[in-house]
Amino acid sequence: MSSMLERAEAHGLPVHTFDLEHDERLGVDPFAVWDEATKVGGLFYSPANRGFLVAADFDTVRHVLQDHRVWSNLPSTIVYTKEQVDLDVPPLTMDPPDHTRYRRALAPLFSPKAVAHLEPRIREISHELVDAILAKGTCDFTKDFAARLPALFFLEWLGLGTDDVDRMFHLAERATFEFPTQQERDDIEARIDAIVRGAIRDRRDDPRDDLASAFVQMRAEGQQIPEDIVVGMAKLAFIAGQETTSTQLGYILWHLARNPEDRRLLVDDPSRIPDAVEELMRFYNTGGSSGRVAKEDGELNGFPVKAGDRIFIARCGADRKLAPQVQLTRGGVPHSAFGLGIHRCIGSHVARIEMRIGLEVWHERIPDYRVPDEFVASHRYGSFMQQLLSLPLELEPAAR
Amino acid sequence: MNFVIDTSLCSGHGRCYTLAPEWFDADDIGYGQVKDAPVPDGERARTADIVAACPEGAISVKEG
Ligand code: HEM
Ligand code: SF4
Repeated sequence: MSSMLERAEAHGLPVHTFDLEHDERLGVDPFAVWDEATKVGGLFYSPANRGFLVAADFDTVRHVLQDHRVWSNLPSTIVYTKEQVDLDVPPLTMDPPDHTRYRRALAPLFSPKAVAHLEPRIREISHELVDAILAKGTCDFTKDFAARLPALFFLEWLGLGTDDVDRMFHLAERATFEFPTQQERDDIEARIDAIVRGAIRDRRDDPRDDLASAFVQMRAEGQQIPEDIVVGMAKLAFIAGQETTSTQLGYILWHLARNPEDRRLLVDDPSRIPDAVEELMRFYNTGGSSGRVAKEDGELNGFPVKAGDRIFIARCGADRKLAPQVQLTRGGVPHSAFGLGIHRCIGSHVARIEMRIGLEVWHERIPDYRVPDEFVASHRYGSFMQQLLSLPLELEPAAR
Repeated sequence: MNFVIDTSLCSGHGRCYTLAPEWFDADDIGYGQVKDAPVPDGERARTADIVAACPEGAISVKEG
């Protein structure tokens, strides 16, 4: 069997070193790294680490993510790392037909109708966070708002309470950014497993009005679901429910802080916020590391795929290539920030509510703010996404 | 003119029912459904936007 590199060379596929583990520019301007990659072509080969294909335009990204017959999530591995690290967070780490069965069981808990009632609580928490920020007089948006809102809201909804919010958020953060080796990954997953398993066992005897109880009552095609799978899905919710929304919100505000005319658009008419969120998710796609592994031979853009080939899905670059500028009021440009295909984010409806309400409350209370002149943005890229590390703001609250 | 959703492609992004609640609805788990409401000819530009906004390419327009 010929290697990916040999086939790439034989078929004229571009070769470009795309190294998410070591490229230092990711800390300075990650978006430039994505933009450079998409210029190479819709599909290329990166020799970094163990070598992998890269899907880098929207059509190729969509094709791979929709073609689950060829492109599998088993094993669920981070394709670009030096060491192979496998994850166990169903239903992400499953293929059909198991995936279909468990996703169908999980989806009703997160549907638009099921999460609509959470809005008032999200609004309340947002106001409390702004109160605290205004009382303090200074603000690092990423830490004081973007990280707090999803963690406080989600841990409460899950039923874990918020007494231990810092430790829990830190665990979700580690599960998103800090697992270069299998041993570290297993250690983080075991810690989260213990927390959510405890809550789920507890709710079995003592159901409440929370997500952990809904997990216990969940059925797949009328059948009880094995505890390990329930816990696995709760583990994913624990991780995805906190860190993703936090990171996305940080980038959205970073844009609004630097573009007063865009901010004014939303302050003047908050009904523009939902479309603006979609556009900013596209342009500041957090870039998460969806990867896939071919489970059978196939073809991609004319390139002969062999079973075992790894592909990295450069969703961030693909989305940015669709339109090189931000235009908050546009409707007709799609994005893949929530993924595409059968694994598309189940939490998207609740994440959108959190981002919309967070931005509504923030701009109602603090319509004017700016990034200090001396601020230099720094980012980190971890296994699941890139993140803006801090966002200090100078605030001009609304008169009350 | 009517919208059609390819249910084998729809994965529930919800762009359709957010952009045009008069023509689309969410089902129980958040996947798109076409409402039984006609799309006037004068709405062609918006129609094209909605088709383009579906990230899965699952929406098409049937004339007539
Ligand atoms: C802005 C916030 C969020 C972003 C950007 C985001 C992004 C994503 C992406 C890109 C995927 C697909 C991964 C892949 O195909 O490999 C995904 C899947 C998933 N997300 Fe989110 N997510 C967010 C918030 C949430 C929240 C709040 C939850 C709540 C529990 C959640 C739960 C899930 C689950 C369960 C899956 C797996 C679905 C499946 O495998 O069928 N996400 N997310
Ligand atoms: S926008 Fe497309 S994928 Fe999303 S719900 Fe509508 S039809 Fe389905």
